[in-house]
Amino acid sequence: MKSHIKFYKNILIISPVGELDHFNIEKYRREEDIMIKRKKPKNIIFDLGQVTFIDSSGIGYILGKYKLCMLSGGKAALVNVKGNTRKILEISGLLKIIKICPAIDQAIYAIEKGGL
Amino acid sequence: MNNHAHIKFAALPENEGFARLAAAFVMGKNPDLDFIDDIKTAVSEAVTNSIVHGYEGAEGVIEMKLSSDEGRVYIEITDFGRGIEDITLARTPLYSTKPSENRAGIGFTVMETFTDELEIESEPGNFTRVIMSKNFR
Repeated sequence: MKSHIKFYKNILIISPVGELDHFNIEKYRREEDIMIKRKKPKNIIFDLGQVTFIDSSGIGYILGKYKLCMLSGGKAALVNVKGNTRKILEISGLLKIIKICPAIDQAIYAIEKGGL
Repeated sequence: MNNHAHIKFAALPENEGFARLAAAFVMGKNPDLDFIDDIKTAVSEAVTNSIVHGYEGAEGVIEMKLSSDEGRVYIEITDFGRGIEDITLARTPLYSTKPSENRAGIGFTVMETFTDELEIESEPGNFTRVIMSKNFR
């Protein structure tokens, strides 16, 4: 898994590539969390368009990042959610706290206009 | 034809992907992609549990028995780690013994949802065995 982290204004956009499982997450988590703590983004967008597999470790990963950002009272969105990733997002209850947007620009718009 | 495999592998995180692929391989070409994804997810949960909770990152061996026939896929995953004291509590959604490590606490819930049958056997200090089956539809 390769993880791409971008910052747009006060929004963290995180686009993992590949399999979001325990093995891959452990490789990137620490480095990413250090960057988040340093840059303190207020809002977060998870772009799952290039995720080929996700299990409950992936849900824990998303929750962990969500918690780090929400400390400052921001908003979060999931984008590019495909069929096979949606099922576990639903079961985990994650969709009750993080809304799905069709694409990144719509998520940015929703965050900036307070639509989430 | 029925297919089966009995695999022993080191309880290392890099083998989680291997276990998922092995399970997908044993199923053959019968099921659709959704079915394969469900099985891969359930296997991933069980193997990750063995590594994270069974052996808690220490050295160990995971045994995986896989088989499939016309009707269903059968999966048995065993570790010889610390075991589970209270299986009912462990199966409770959102319960985790390691919440600080950002574990979602839904591993067993996912296994239950993604298969048709889930059975857990454990002896504290000795082993944990997860038995799952899923019917082809």
